[in-house]
Amino acid sequence: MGQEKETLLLDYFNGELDDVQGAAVERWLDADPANREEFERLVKDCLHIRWARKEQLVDAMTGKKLVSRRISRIKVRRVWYGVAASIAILVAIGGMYLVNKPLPEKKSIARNEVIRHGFPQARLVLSSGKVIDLTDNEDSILEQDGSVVKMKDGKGIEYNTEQAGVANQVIYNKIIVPRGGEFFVTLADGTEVWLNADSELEYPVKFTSDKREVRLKGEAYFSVKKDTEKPFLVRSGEYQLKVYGTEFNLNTYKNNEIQAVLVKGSVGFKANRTAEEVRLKPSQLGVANEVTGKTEVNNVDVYPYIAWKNQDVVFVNERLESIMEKAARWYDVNVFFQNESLKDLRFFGNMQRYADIQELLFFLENTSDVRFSVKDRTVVVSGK
Amino acid sequence: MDNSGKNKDQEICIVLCSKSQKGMDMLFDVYYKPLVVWADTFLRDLNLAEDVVQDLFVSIWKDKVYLKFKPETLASFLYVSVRNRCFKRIEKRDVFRNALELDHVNLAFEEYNERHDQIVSRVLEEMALLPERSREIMNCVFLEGLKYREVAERYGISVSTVKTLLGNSVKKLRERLDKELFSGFLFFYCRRE
Repeated sequence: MGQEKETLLLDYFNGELDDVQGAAVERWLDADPANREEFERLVKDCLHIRWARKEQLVDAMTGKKLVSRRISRIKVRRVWYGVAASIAILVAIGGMYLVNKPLPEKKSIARNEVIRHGFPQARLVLSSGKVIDLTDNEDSILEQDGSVVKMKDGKGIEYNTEQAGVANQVIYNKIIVPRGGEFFVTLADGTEVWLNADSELEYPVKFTSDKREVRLKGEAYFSVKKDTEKPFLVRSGEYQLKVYGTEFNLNTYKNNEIQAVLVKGSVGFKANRTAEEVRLKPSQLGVANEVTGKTEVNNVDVYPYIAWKNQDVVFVNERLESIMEKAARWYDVNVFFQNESLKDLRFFGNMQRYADIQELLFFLENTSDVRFSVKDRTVVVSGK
Repeated sequence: MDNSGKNKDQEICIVLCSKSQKGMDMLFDVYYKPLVVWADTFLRDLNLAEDVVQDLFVSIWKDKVYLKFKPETLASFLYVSVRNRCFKRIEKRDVFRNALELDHVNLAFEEYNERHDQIVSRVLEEMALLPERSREIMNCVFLEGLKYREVAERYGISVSTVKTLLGNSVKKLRERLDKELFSGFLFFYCRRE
């Protein structure tokens, strides 16, 4: 079948044939399933061309605005009913109190001025051993080898090694993020690292050897700059993870359970020096026990693991103990469970990371029988 | 090939299941444009097509349809819903009415969705390389839905010239699209090694 047939089919598809010609094409189509397939391939390609071209005429910006306006109108109405109902109840309760007795000065358990959510804060340990507070710092810092550490929007730092001399020995920097903090660093090779609260990252100021090697304590999300010649290694104790260019989250808060979640690309990890390398595919979670060398790989939804770096908090069937461990680091509080079995309660939810702890506790209290009391920096978890 | 689509569906479902409006934004960014041109296939009216898709998005939120979303079926749910809404909207369907209800058109859209970014960029690139007149003719027939005769009148050329130029353009674009599909398979194959 040549160009001529193709043109004829195209004309048929475009409705340009008269009855006689059209009937002829239809007979040809019915004569052999292969003919019909041929035609369907043409139709498919024509539709693809048409759709692709036509998308350029769609004004998605305006459409999005219209839809979100309509959606938020739905939302506002609902919130209003809620607000109206709460006011009615408050008025009723208030009225009762006023009638019965004056309200005593009583501090609500949920209110506590001392506790605030985490924010960008970190200290940088230079190669000389000098420690610099990066929180609200605006000045650039000069390293011994001429590298410049520049502040980025008050939330992170980046390395500029253009002026760096050829060093005889590799010099290291260490960034320390305390509890209640988070920080962002762009390393000399362009690799981006988001550090979660209570974490440390040690790395060469400039990557000169045939490997790019860093050490992590705590939790970090890595977006590794691709360089097939120089593999990127993350170590944590004896645990080691090797990549070439990829995105993943590494959680080493517990020594006996290091979690790697792969978003893109491919990584291999070893639980300890003697363990075999285990490879991960995207959307897999690899849990390694550094002591026993045991590993486990599972397919997972990635988002709950990486949500923190997008300023989101997502729980999907998550144990209360794990939720409260995260809260403890982010809000810099101590958590005490009155009853061990409460640790096994499971929750689904979604919140803003930069919300107050009260919002989190309110959500947890209202979707279960668990109760919280807050005193200074301690949160006590109890049953109803 | 494009594996990101599946991951995106998963992300969208997780965020929506937590009732976050951000999920609607994500859904919009991925699906709005393809669904509008899909609706336009039946309606032959881009504005009406936008209305239909916007209505669908609003009702997904309003009726909490998103609570039932699953990553495996999200895409097919969306395009079946759009198609059904279109059929409700129109009394008069165009000449391809019969063809449009056939499976292969649905399959064509499924494939379009799966390889979306690749197909769009190939088509636009290849169209940019066409001679101006050929490109104009293609736009007239594929976008505006004009008849060959109307195109010929508009540019003062013969119907057979329209036919030939359109045929050649389609041939070129198809070669490019098929080639891309083939290399896509190769790539996929390599990754499995």
